[in-house]
Amino acid sequence: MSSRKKTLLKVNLQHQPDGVPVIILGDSGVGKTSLMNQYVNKKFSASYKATIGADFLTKEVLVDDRLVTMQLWDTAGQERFQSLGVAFYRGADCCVLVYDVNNSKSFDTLDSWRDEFLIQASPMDPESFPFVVLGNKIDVEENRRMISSKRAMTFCQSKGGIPYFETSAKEAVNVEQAFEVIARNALAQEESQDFNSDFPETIPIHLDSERDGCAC
Amino acid sequence: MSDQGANASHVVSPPDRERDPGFHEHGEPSPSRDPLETSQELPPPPLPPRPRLEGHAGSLRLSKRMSRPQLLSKPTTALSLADVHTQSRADAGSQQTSPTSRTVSRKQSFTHFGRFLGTSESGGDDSASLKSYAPTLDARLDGESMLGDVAEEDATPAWRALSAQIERDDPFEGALIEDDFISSHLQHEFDDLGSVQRDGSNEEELLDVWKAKLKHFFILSASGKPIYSRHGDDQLISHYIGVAQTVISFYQGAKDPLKGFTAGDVRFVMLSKGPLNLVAISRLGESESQLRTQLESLYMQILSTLTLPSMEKMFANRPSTDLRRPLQGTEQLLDGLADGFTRGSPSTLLSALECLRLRKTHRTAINDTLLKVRSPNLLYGLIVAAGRLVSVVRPKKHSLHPGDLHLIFNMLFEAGSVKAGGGENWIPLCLPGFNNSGYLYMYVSFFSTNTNNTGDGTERPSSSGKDDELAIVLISANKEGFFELRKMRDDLVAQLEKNGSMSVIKTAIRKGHATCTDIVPGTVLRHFLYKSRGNVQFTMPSFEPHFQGMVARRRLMSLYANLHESIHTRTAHLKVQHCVAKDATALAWETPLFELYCVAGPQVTRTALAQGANRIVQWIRREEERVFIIGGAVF
Ligand SMILES: Nc1nc2c(ncn2[C@@H]2O[C@H](COP(=O)(O)OP(=O)(O)OP(=O)(O)O)[C@@H](O)[C@H]2O)c(=O)[nH]1
Ligand SMILES: [Mg+2]
Repeated sequence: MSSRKKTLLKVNLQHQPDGVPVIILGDSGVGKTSLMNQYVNKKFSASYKATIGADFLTKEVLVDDRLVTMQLWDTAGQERFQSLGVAFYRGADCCVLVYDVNNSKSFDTLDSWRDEFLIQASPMDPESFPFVVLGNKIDVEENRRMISSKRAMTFCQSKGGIPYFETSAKEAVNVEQAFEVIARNALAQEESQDFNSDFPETIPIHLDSERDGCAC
Repeated sequence: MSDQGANASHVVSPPDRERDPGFHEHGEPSPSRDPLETSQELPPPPLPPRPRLEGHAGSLRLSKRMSRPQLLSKPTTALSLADVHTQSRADAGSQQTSPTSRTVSRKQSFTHFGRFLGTSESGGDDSASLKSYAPTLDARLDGESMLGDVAEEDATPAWRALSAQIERDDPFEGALIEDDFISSHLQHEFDDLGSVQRDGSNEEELLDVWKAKLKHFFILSASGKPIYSRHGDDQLISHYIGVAQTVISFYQGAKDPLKGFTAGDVRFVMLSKGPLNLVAISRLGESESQLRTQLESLYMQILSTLTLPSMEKMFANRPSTDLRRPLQGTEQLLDGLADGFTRGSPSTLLSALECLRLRKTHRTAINDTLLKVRSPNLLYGLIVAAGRLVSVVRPKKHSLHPGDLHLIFNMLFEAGSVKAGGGENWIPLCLPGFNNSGYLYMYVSFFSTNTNNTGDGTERPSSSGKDDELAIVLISANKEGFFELRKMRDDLVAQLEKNGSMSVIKTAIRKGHATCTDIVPGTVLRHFLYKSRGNVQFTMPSFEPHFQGMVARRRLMSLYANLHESIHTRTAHLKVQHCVAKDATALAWETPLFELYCVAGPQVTRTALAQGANRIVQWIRREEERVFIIGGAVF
């Protein structure tokens, strides 16, 4: 059963031969790269090096006894790279939206990151497409905090119950947990896609023959 | 392995200023039929020009005629005196009257041009005042190079006084004097300045730190908006930007653009590029043209981020455009370039790049592998080890522009942002030397090579030093080509592992640079730079054991910069420059085929130095296909 799935998977995905693509979006400086680095390499660096273009990392994870390769796209938050990101929006199985809890602008823009993603990726079923929101840098002193948990959760609720985590890439708080949910949701999405695209594979043949018949 | 066709034989195209403007014989390339077209349906990219030296394409063939001025044993008899320029610090007085030293070593004096002019009361020349010196200077240079062949008596007394001062102020001495100054300042040169507090209480203090920096770069828009400054934030330096803008626009208004000036020991150089003005301010003794080259490179980085048409469009739509926003994130690349210039890099000085030394058969094997795994949308492929080129795969019609390569190397090895994520990268960038109007897409994958396991080439973590890094860089015009190029990377690595090339590369990286005495046993030379002009590549030995540490290296680079400048402002075909100082002797030798700069310890005779130089040239002749990439893998 699962081996059949595997072959189908290979046939159906245009971009990625195997693996589950996940894209990480959010304003510049909120800590996307740091979260990835913490998750994949267990490392944190305090110096800021703005990502140029996009970084691609892979990580093998076990989801219910299945080994899954997550393909993580860490995109640059800076405006001028947004057109590049678009190339990777399509085909993503999960979209992670990151903001900095100490920076209200980065929270305000979450909605437009989400919209932009939905427009560009145009998933088959936008309502059910899996997002995960991460509020990062919770290790910073409490009095600098701008966005309360409550406010963030209300937002996530209003968007159809997006899972929400408060993280610190610096102190490795909640990073594993968040990515476990990301992996699980991405895999579920991948499989539903897999199921859906069984049809397009066969249908065109019928269409072709039909059209051939009609055109004459 | 003879190279047919000049296109095929040059990995790297010479920089702009070496271009032959009259060169058009190839006709326009028509790359649009292949996938190499840059994105956005651009007009076909311009063909990078061929190097001038067609006849000697890619090989160091010293013809009898070329090598006639043998330096072998008796340089004094082999060389026409006019060609040998000795600067002697030790006995400047007697040198004054010797015919070999009537030489006006004007360029060397640039190190302290400012200081010299500042202190010299002898009139006529521009002093520290604001003045566009370029025209007068040019005139002087001409006079000087003629002077080389003219009898001493022709020089006016004032002129002789001038040259006496310059002689005394030779670069080696200068470097000594500056040693303390540089070492104390260079340590803090790259420290972050911090920003002005809200109440402005620390402003004065910060300004002092700011002023103590050895080198500044500014970029501002034609309308005076600040775009970039290496040190200090807007608030701190707005006043200075304002002054710079006023000065620049004054001269632009007068249709006599200011190119530069000196004040005390500080040199100012301005470069105007369309809607941008770039300014370099340096106390490190670089020449005007060297600083100008550095500014050109910063400008290229801006084009690389924005492309020329989109930058021009922004300014056409709104002359007061604030370019900082679209350039966000480019600061770290500009900083990387700027700091590289401040530290001094042979590659920048020579506008050439360095290759990893490999046996010819090994390099051929790597080239063949590249061609074998080449994916259809590939434009350029590079294997780069520890900042040195291992191999290149490229279309027959396109060589690589050294300026473009410099931008790529800076991005990968200096700026740090590419490695920060620790993964593979997909980076849109414009390579202005290739085509300044559109973006290409660059796939980058780093490997660590310091582990002995020949395993699967694990992705390198972000922290280790640049000396053990191996990067595979694949460039395409296809925005969606990531997975295609990634597959090529996988195939390439698998093949290189299989045919043993990977371990050959790793061994070469581990071995590092050979020392001078490895290259020529018993040589008096401590370091050298050899640039093959036809290949636009250079080679050099290790900085160890004589030039360890940032200060020693900066000093050595200053010496090279002075030699380079002195030899480049003369028009003779063959040029040799010989310098003597308390703690070093040096020789620069330029022919149409190569430039060689050698440094030896103090009190090394000119004969010994010349012998050393000649041994290096012989070594290069033997090793040419090992130390340089000739042709590369061409498709
Ligand atoms: N205190 C604290 N600092 C963090 C945390 N995560 C990231 N940072 C810092 O925030 C800065 C920006 O982090 P990055 O991970 O580079 O941000 P980014 O989202 O990747 O930014 P772009 O690449 O420009 O889109 C860096 O200086 C990090 O060290 C965190 O959890 N706590
Ligand atoms: Mg980032």
